[in-house]
Parts: sequence; C-alpha cells; structure tokens
Amino acid sequence: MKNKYILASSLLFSNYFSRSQNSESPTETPKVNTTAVEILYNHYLQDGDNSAVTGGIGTERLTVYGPSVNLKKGFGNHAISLQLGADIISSASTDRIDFVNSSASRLDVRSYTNLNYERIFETNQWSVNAGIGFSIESDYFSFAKYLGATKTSKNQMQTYALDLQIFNDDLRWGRLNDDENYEPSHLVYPEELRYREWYDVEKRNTYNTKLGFTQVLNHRHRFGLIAGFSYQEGLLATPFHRIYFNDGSLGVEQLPNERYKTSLGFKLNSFVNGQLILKNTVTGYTDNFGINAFAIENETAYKLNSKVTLYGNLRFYTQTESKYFAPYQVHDISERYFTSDYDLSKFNTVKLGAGIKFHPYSFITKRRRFDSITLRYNYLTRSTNLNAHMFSMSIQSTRIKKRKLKR
Amino acid sequence: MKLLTRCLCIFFSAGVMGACAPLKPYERVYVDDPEMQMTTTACKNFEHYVQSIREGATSVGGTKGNGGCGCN
Repeated sequence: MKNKYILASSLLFSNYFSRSQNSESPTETPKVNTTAVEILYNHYLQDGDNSAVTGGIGTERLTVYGPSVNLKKGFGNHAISLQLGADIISSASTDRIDFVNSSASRLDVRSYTNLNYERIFETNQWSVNAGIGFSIESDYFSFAKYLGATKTSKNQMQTYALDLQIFNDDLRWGRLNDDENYEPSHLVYPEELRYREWYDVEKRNTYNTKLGFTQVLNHRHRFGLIAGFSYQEGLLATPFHRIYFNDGSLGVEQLPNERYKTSLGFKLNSFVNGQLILKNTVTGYTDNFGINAFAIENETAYKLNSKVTLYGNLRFYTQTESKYFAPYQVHDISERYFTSDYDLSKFNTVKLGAGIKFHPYSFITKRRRFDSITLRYNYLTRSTNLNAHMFSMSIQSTRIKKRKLKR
Repeated sequence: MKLLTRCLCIFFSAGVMGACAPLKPYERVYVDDPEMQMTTTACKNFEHYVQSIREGATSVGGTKGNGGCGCN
C-alpha cells in the first residue's frame, strides 16, 4: 500500500515537471531580439604646409568634428543596421579656393547614412549582407552599394569572405546651396581659374572588391589574408587643386581618368598569455599612378581585468611618389598630367596611439545592457611635416527582448 | 596580371593551411575572444578613413566605408 502511494506521488511530480518543461519546449524555442546602439564621436586635428589647394604650399590646417550613431536591430537570423553621421569640417586650405578668409568655403559639412541588411544561414554557416548608402557635401555626392558574403567552415577553423562595393560620385557643387535651388550645377575651380571648363567629366565611379581568408592556426593564433582590388574611372582630379608651373603660369590638377589599385595584407593575432593579445598586420600596395606602398602595424591589447582592456598601437607606412607628382613650380606646362597634392608624394608616416575600453556588459535596466565605452587617441606624423591628432569615443549599449517562436 | 596570379597562388597556399588540426570547443577560449577577431571597430574605421585620404594607398581591409571627396 505504501509503495502505491510513493508510485502515485512520483507519477504526479513527473507529470507536473514534464508540463512545466513543455511550456518552453519542444514546441516553442526561446529567442531574443536585440537592438544595439553605438554613439560615436571622432575629432580630427591636422596641420601642415603643403596644401594642394594652393599648389603644394600653404597651410593644411584642418579640424573635423564627427558625431555619428549606429543602430543594429537583430531578429533571430536577420539583422538590419543603420548608420547616420556628419563630419563638420573647418578647413583653412579650402578657404583659399577664393582667397576670401572666413568665407563659406572655410566650413563644410559631410552628412552620410548607410543601411545594411544581414542574413545568417546557421545550417551551412553562411552569412550574406547587402546595403546602400550616400554621403553629401556642398561639392560632392556619393551613392554607395554594398554586397558581401562570409562562409565559415564546418569545424570553424576557416572563414572565407567576399565584399563588393560600388560608389557613384558626382563632384558638382550646389546641392546644399539655395542660390542653385539645391541642384548640382558646376565644378568648383579656384576663383581666378573660373574663366573656362577644365574637365569634360564631372562624375567618378569606384568599384572595390575585397577577398578575405582567416585560419585558426592553433588555440592561440589566428591568421588572416586580405586582398583588395579597386578600379576607379571618371574625374579623379580635384577641381580646386592649383598647379603653379615652372614658367609662372597657373592651372588645375590633371590626372588620368582611370586608376587600378591592388593591395594585399597579412594579419596575425596572437593570444600570448591570459592577458596579452598582439595583433600584427603587414600590407603591400601598388597602383597605376606609380605609387608602391608598404605598411606594418602592431596593436597590443592588454586585459587588465574582466572589465577593462588597454590598447597601444604603432604603425609605420612608406610610399613612393606618383609619376604625376611634382612640388610647387616644378611641373612643366607641356606635361599631360600633373598634381602638387602631397598625398601622392614620396613620404613616410608614423602613427602612434593608445586606448582604453571599459566593457562591463551589465544591465542598467531590466532589458537595457550597457556594453562598453572606448576611448582612443592617435598621433600621426608624416615626413612632409604634416601632423595630425585623432580622438575617438564610442559608447555601446544593447536592448535585449526575449521572444518566443513556434517551431 | 602577374600580381593577380601571385595573389591567387597565395590564396591557394592559404587553403592548404586548412590542414591545421581542428580545435575542441574547450580549446577555443582564446581564439574566440572578441579581441582575436579580424573584424574592425567603428573607432578604427575612422582611422582607416583618415589613412585612405592622407595616404596615396588604400589601406587593405579598409576599403571606403562611405563616400566623400576627402579633399580638404
């Protein structure tokens, strides 16, 4: 009799627990919807004495204030991300387009937005993404299209990635100006050179392809290989870049209407011990303008504890001179292509930086999680006497909402 | 064309590296750490953007994040 009671009680308990489990599974699977928000601020200060606007001489002083926000909404295996941002640019060099100090050309705003959709196929470990975007400033409009795919191997030791980008740009001025009825109207030449049209094209198209491969070498090392191919066509010169020829005459920059770029990079990330991570990158580059470049970079991350990571980085870059470059008053007027833009000259740059990331991943409300705050500073010095300071701050948080999906 | 062939050879060699022994889940704690990933961050994207303007070369893996003349 006693055994019967025990058996009956056991059946009741087992029935109760099996019911409580059935409320979650197997008919329903708990999932989460996430909304990640990243607020970003970039600050850029630059100074130098080789402005292309004044033919390779003159100030390159520039300040950029760059707030932006990134939103990413995840619905199971789908995600939509939106980026909105603006760069407020205060430039002493573009102020020399018309030689009127503190004129409208001193201050410019570049506004940009990107919308991207990503789909993850868990069963065969694929992810694909596609997006569009645009950026607008007074003398430039860019329409972008993106397409990408990533495949992870079954044992998660390799990933293969392909990214395609197309940018259709228009260099005409007037979209942000009421005098032009907010319509693109003409290219902006230096004030004293507006008596004629210097180019027969006004648009620029860029096609980028990026191939990526990563390999887990062992439990502490991850290797990466990235190849980039880029083709540009259209107006590749900047209309308001002056050229002072050796006979004293004046013109605007002229560059070929086609440019091919190829780059290849190797990355090695190493988890040296429980706290120290070394990220090393070596990059080579070549193009049909005659520029060959090489860069080597190290970023070191030190995990101070589970919530704080410190960063240090050092980058060395060197490039050869473009065959179209010559300094102020060196170009001969008989040449077909010419530029005095020191970005295309022979130089070395050294970039040195540090950063800190506080990443508590703690819930500040029931559903809102504070992920991290990152601060980064970089100092860049170029052998052409150009110096720049870069400061970035990023705050990330995620809203997590549990949802139930029927199988 | 020669450069393209070299790139393809390097990618083929990289494929051979697939012979590395697979890791067990408990051995992936370091390689799966967020800091060990090859992806970039928004802060670094800004630095790549500056580099793509101030240097004649396009930084590898840092193809244009968004448009703009970068002519200032």
